[in-house]
Amino acid sequence: MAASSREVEAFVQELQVMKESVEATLNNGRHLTLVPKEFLEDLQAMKESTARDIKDGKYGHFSFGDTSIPPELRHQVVTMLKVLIYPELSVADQVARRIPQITDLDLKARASQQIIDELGHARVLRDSLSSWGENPDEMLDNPLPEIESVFEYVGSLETPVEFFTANFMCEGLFLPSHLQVMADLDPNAFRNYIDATLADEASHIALARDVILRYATTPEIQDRCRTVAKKVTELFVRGFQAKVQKMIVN
Amino acid sequence: MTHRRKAGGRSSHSERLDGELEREAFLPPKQFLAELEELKDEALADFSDGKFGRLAFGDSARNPGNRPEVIALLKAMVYPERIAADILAKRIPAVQDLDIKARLAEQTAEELEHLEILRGMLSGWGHDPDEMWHSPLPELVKVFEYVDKLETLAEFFTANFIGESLLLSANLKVMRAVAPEAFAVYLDVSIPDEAKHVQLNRDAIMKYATSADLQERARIVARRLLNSFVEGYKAKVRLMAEMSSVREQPSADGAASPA
Repeated sequence: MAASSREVEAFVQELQVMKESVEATLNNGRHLTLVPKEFLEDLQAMKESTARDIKDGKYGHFSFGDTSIPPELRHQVVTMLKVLIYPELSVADQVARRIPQITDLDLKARASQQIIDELGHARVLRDSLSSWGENPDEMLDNPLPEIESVFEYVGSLETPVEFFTANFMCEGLFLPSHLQVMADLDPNAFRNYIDATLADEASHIALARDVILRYATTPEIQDRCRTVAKKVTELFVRGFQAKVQKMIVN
Repeated sequence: MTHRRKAGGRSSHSERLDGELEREAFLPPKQFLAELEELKDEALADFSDGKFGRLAFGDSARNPGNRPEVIALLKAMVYPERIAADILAKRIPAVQDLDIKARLAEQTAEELEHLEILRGMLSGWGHDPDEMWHSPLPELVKVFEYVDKLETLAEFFTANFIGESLLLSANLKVMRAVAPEAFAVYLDVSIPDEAKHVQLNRDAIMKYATSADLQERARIVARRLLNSFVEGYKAKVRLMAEMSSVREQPSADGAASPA
């Protein structure tokens, strides 16, 4: 007699529980080493879940004012550009500090390109603000504390793989939560910046992904990276909320 | 190494402190740079005169991959290109000026590109490209350890100015003149890049060597680096000669042994 689908499902569940029990015994209760690709999929899922929450407005929404008014006259646009200078320059400095730690020459070269890119983004932001008669360094000298916290944390990470895990999460969240929103809501105001950054961000995420694939190869490292991913996602969300708040307050 | 001084040159800017210590007064940045250029040109004259030995690359009729001098030099250069990238990258956060910072980042990427070319050439000829990354010439290690530890940007860029200028004129251009067939792939990329790097250092020195004290520190670095560079150069010449003689040693059956 053929088993019903409910019986098959129950049997599969039973096997799954047995498998997990055997794995836990074999690994002394620690997390299993996932194939790096699977581990990356875990991080990706964590990132996508947060990106969905941001998109659903759980942490507030960016708005850039009345788009019929020139962008340089809208405080939301000006504030956004000013806020972004500190992260661009900080990423450049932090990636630069990591270069000596990276032994793989391909990854090292791509990291050096990321520094050039981030500095290029900062230049685009500064040029826009200067041409509008704004002080481009206002929020470089006085960054939002919540954004500063992100970089203090990322800067303190011990190993390159933890550092690039943080980058993987932040750059991966920045794309849908900032660039995509800027492009959707006010492409004219942010055109220069978006044109300069969009393609680059994709390559930075790819670099972070490749570092993780290469180096997150033991349960200990994967655990450390998971902790970093959770913490930095939390900090990123706080930074996002602080930006939303700053744009409202201004 | 001799440092020729023109009569009435820098000494005219000297001032006496506490009746004992002679210290240079502050020079306008262009004038200070001219002083460093002069120091470097004097050293280059010594290189041209062969005072520190000459780079020789064996029989140009032979395949470069089979010439021990060519291989020895390329292997020796892997360490400087790679360590320079690390040292430059570490310095980027200390630079506030966005233009200098961006050019420093580009230089970092370019040094890594040079490294990739060197490694590609060596691998293509069947040699271990990382042999002298793991066992570099001690004289070269000293140069980079010294540069890495320099405290101020004025000192750092002065060291780079001296090092890169001498590398360009005393090494790369000589390689181009003596054995273009052996090094073209590397030199086509590195010579224009190094010229850019030298210019970056000039601009940075003018920007950062802005007090008598900083200029004095930079002068000390310049002289020290000239000497270290010479030691590194002599070590390379020695290595190439050694490799060449190994290649020429006859084996038991009377034939020259393979490199």
